[in-house]
Amino acid sequence: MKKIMLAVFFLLSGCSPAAFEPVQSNTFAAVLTLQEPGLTFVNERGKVLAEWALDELYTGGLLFNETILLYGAELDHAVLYSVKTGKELGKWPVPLGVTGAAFINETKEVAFSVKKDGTVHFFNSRGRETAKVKTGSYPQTMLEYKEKLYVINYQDTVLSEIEVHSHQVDRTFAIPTSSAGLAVNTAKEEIWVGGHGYGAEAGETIHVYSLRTGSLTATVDAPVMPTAFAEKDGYVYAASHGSNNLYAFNSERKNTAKTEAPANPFSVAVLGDCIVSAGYDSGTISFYKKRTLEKTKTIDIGKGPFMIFVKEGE
Amino acid sequence: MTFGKKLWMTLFIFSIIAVGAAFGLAYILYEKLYVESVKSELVEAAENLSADYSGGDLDKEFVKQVNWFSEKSSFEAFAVHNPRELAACIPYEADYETLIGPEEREKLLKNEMIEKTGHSDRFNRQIISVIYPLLDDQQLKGIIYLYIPLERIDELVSSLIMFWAAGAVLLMTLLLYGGLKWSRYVTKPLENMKNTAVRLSKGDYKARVPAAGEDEFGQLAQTFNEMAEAIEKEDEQRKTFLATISHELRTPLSYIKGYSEAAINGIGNSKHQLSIIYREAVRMERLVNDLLELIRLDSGKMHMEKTFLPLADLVYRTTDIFRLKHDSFELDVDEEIIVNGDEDRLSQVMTNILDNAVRYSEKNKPIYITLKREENDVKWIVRDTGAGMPEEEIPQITNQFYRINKARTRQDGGSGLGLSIVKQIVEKHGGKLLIESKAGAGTTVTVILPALTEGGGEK
Repeated sequence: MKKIMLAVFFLLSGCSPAAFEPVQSNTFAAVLTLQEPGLTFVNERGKVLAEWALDELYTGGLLFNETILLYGAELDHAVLYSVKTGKELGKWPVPLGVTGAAFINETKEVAFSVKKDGTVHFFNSRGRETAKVKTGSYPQTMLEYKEKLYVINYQDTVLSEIEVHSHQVDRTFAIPTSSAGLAVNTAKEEIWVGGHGYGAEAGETIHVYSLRTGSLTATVDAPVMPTAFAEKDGYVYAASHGSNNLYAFNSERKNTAKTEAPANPFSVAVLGDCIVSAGYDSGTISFYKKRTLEKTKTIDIGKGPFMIFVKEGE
Repeated sequence: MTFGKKLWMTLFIFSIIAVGAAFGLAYILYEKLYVESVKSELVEAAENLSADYSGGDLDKEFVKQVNWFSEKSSFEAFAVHNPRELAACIPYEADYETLIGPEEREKLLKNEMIEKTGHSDRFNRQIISVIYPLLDDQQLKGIIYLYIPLERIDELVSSLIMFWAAGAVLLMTLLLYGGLKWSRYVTKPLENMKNTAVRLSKGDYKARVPAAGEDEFGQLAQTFNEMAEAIEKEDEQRKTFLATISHELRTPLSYIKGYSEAAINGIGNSKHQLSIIYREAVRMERLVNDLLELIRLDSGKMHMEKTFLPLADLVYRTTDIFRLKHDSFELDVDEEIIVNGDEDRLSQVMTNILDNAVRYSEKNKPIYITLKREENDVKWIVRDTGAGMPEEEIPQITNQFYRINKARTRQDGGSGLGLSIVKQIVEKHGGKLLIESKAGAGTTVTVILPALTEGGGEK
């Protein structure tokens, strides 16, 4: 009898997983940590709103419509949580080897880049795959801009531009291999591509391509290894994890500020009036003033912060 | 497998273990002492080099300095500041082999040094290496990588290994040869004992094990020889016994035969002849009876019917029988004494002892008979003042067919079994037989029996 009771208990508890601490704030940054899998929600002032300890190794995530979708390169599923309630909303079966994801505002679809088949898979809001398109070797960083989805193929020399309605690649850009990080300079209609460099050689420049012509229009120095970008009000912010630097560039691509980032920054984001960057090695995030990059605060966030997702109030 | 082979095998196995252990120990010493000392030198060098790093990005001067050190010292050394080499791109998938891995990077970030011994894919050889972090705040600005190819150390010890191998072979050979000799030497007394036992079992009672030192084998050999001597003595006694019996039986038989022949042929006084024949027949009967008695006692088949027995009574009765043959008996008898014994057998003891006393005493010399209690013993003493015997004969007097008068004259000769029987009966009653004598002065025979306590048990 005891055994049956126990079985029923586990069955019931298995069916309704405990919810995480809900986040009611409309403006926050969620930091995904890898070495201690978890999500930490902070507000502009650096106050921790909630901490979610995750039981699977998620290597990336996506914040949209007050939900957060978490995926892992070694997982065959992505999990959707409600930020407001902290509850799991569903599990999406996805192909193994997801390296990146993007929410496409235009079609309300989610795109997953999958390294195994070199393909971008599109899922509808119910978690069903609707289309897929081959892009190149190891598709990774993705960015949606004006009904186009831009995809960096990490182990390739191609940046693919996918039309979000037709799910077809309509243009490719020649980029260096081991590229990572995308940003659009809206003022100039150009796309910025960062990178680690090739082989032992560390990358020191950002490659800038015209969205109109598709050709390389400029290179911007941001040593060493600029791989994360954020864009706001015509300014592009870049984090270079090889030298632990944070750069601010104006719409004319001119470097207006440079400062020290937390050790080994893989991410940078704009949160309200702040720039936030997370140091993978230091386990901290730092807050900076926009444009001047004057550091205002540093807080501990957990081991191995890798990505920052931002939600700003409606 | 013989014991010698087993011993040899044991030695063989032990010597293999010993040589193996020696190799293991040498290896541990090499590992612990040599490799550790090289490691500590590497660590020291790395610490010295890192002392010149004062934070910030690694400048060319520092890198040059490390390279200069590499040229001048026996170690290979270089400084690395390329974040690609330092696995800074993890968790991005690296598209080439970095100098350090993610775990190493994590350790270095904690300002921990990394020491490694083994194969390096980067250098494609066995190396001992030390990686020293150059940290500025929490940022890994670079590393100092120091290593020494392990081949160099192996070359150094390879000659030693040759020496070691040669030494091991030599030692093994010596141990095995020596072991063979030694096991033969050790098992030699056993081999001798085995051969002697075989000879003994085939009836060669003269066979003896050669003396073999003072150790356990030597003691065993000695005991073995004692046993062989006992067997030989027993065998001789058996032969003597048979010869004596034949002789003892033949003497009366030849009398009977001779005198009966004379009687048949009507030669001489037939009455006298018949009386001799009768006397010899009685002697023979007595001899045979005594023999039967002795054999029964010897084999333990003699049944003792023990009762509580007033010994004084028995002494009086037996003495009375002998009054016909002897004139004077002096009795000092404690009439209270009771023993637990077989009346017939104890009567036989008294008869045999008195028979001897009477036989070797002059008719008018007194024979003293004492019966007394001394603590828990009952002492029953018969003393005569007759012929006596030399002291050296006393130990043999209870042997079968032993006579002081070797001539075995018919007049004083009994069967030679009397005291033998006495000794056996006394011992079967839990008692002791003591004989004291002096030639010409007489003999004292003391029978000591356990006294009966008031409760009825023996003490």
